[in-house]
Amino acid sequence: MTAREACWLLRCAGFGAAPIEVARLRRMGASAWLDEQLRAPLSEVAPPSVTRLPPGQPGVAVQVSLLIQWWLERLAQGGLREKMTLFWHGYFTSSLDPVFSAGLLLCQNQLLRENALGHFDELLLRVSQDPAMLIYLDGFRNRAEHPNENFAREVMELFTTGPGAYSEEDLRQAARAFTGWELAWLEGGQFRNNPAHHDSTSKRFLNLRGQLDGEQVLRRLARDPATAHHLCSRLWEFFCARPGESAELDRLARLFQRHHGSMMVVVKGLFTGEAFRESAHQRRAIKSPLELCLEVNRMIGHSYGLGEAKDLQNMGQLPFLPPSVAGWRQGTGWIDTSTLQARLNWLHHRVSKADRWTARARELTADCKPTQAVERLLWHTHQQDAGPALRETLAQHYRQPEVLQLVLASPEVQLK
Amino acid sequence: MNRRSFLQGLLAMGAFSMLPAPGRASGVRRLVMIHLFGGNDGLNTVIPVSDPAYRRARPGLAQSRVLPLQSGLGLHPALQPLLPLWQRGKMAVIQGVGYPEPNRSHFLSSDMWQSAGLSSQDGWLGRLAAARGWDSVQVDDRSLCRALWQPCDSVRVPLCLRTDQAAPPPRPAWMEEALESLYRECPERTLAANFAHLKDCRGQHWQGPPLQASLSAMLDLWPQGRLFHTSLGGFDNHSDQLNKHARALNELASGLAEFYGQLQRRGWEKDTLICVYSEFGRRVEENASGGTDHGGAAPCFLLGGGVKGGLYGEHPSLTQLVDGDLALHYDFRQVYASILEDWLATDSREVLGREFGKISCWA
Repeated sequence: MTAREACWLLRCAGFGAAPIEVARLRRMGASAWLDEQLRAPLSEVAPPSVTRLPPGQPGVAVQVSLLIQWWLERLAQGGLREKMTLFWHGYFTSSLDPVFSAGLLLCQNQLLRENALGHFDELLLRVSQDPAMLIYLDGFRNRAEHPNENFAREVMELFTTGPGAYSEEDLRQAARAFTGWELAWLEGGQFRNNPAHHDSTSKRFLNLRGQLDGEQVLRRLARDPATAHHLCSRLWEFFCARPGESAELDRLARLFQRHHGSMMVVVKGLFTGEAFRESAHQRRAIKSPLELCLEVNRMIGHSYGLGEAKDLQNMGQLPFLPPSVAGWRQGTGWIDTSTLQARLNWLHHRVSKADRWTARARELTADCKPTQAVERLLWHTHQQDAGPALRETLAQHYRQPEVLQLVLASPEVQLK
Repeated sequence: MNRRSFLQGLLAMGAFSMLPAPGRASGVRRLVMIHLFGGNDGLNTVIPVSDPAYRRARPGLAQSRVLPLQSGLGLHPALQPLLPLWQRGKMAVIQGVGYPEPNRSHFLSSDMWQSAGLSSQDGWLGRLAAARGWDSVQVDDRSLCRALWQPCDSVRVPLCLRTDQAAPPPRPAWMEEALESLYRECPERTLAANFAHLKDCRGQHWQGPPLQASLSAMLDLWPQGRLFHTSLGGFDNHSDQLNKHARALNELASGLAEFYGQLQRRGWEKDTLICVYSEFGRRVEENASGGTDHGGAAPCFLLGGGVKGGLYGEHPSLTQLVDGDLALHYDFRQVYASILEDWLATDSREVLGREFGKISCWA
């Protein structure tokens, strides 16, 4: 495993590639390292004290910023499970608008974490009955006498098969199957299946016939071959920030089906595949704002502050506020003129305490040859896999006091 | 991207370039979209002032001194700055615009308007820009709006600025040069293209209220795009709506009037179309806090030298409601289809996925 391949895996499966971790991964090999990541026990971190109900209470903004801070601290501790939690947060997404309850979003976040590496059908069922999701997609308003199709549409279009695998009539029938799901507001807003509002007449959904209920519809969708393909394609884009090649997506989809939707198997299959290793050398995968921030904060020993919510928003990724029900756009979707500007400004201010960073640069580059100085600078900034363009530029400018700012502003830092 | 999708993309572009050239367009026609974010109260924008049901539904919010459009119908008085444009026949009011089974979340409904209801992760203006090879520009204080999202692997990227565009960090000249060269050679074109955009727009601060600032930025950036998008907030008034809505409408009207004047002075009026929309209207009945909640259909405005001013469609009935909301008269994609076909001479089906009936609102 080359240093570049190790950095690629570390940045995709976690946040950042510190030299010490690169060395450890190369010693262990990808397979053993992934097993360690996948089997790591769920760490207990006391959640922030936020309340579930009633949605829209005063102070919800303060609670949400506590919630964001709590999650960013967890993400900073790294681990593949946390990375997968972030994947699901963008896949089964729910937003502060219109959920307006930090407590309900926290519950959903915990649910995603606990099931992040489990079986897809189980997660699909649980997240469909999650209170924040029921509010976000109007699932709790869906009654036999007047079905609301919002959830049924998104569950098929975004969470399972993707468009093209069903007709509008299937969608209407699915919406009827979900009727009667509601929130018991007096019992803390728990999910409840209310038979009084359920349409128990006969339905036809895909190849199923009978008095179908929501759970049967979800299990059928989870098994659909199109679901395997759709999910693997979203997973590849999340990790690698580029669309996957169809042969590789077919392979992952087959793995998904053979192992009954085990995410642990699919994730390991993705990271140990030939296609993943080869894509290390393209250097075109743009980091998400969270990947960028967490990596750089770790590198410079800076923890997340409340003020950074604004920066994350300017960069285009504030947790719990996805841009749409389809989650965040990965890869090139992160970058527009003002988000790139926000990234460069944020990076600049990370190392703008000039004295400290110029002293560090001087220390690193003192008494050595240019090639050695370049290695030290890249090592120090966790960019030891940098390409020749940046290396040549650094060899030219390594004596400049602001050289560390150059490294952080370079395109390499934007890429995984 | 794989070879196949690249080839498909190339072929699609070829198909576009074979469309008949726009016959009537003399100069380069531009489109400016303005999103009234938050859900504009259409009923208090184009007001059925003599309908008794209006006064019943809006005991605290009803307007009585409206700017008359036709008998029984008037504009909110805060829209006074737009009156000269209406009188000169430069403003079309499309009534009751929406879509079936409206979603009442700001997010989801904005998404619907901006994607035009297609499930691909791009937007209607982005698809258009990519297919025609046009440049697009957004100026406001939001991240790149869905309407301008381009399909993956588009070569061009929208210029997306804030009205108070932060200055890039001060960098010594050697670093500036080094970064320019690193970004220019970066294999990821989105980074390279946007970094190049940054050079043209450093540390600008356009003065005035938000919409006016965005629109004057657009005038400065006029050569850099054909498709423009901006948004204006202040419309989501669940409480104390009376003054807040008047303020927001007045900002819209004075911003537009000022912009339109500039277009005329520069001789750009006849090649510019402005379209004002909102993700939904509001409930007919005002709520208990002197505000209104999220509702259904609402009016759209079209302004420009090519527009045939007037009222289009019927004002939605206040008594025959759908789910308690104003019914739609036009699908918003009919407005888009008219703009695409008749203003921009483009095949609307390529952008909207299917055909929608057009509205003949051109001079």
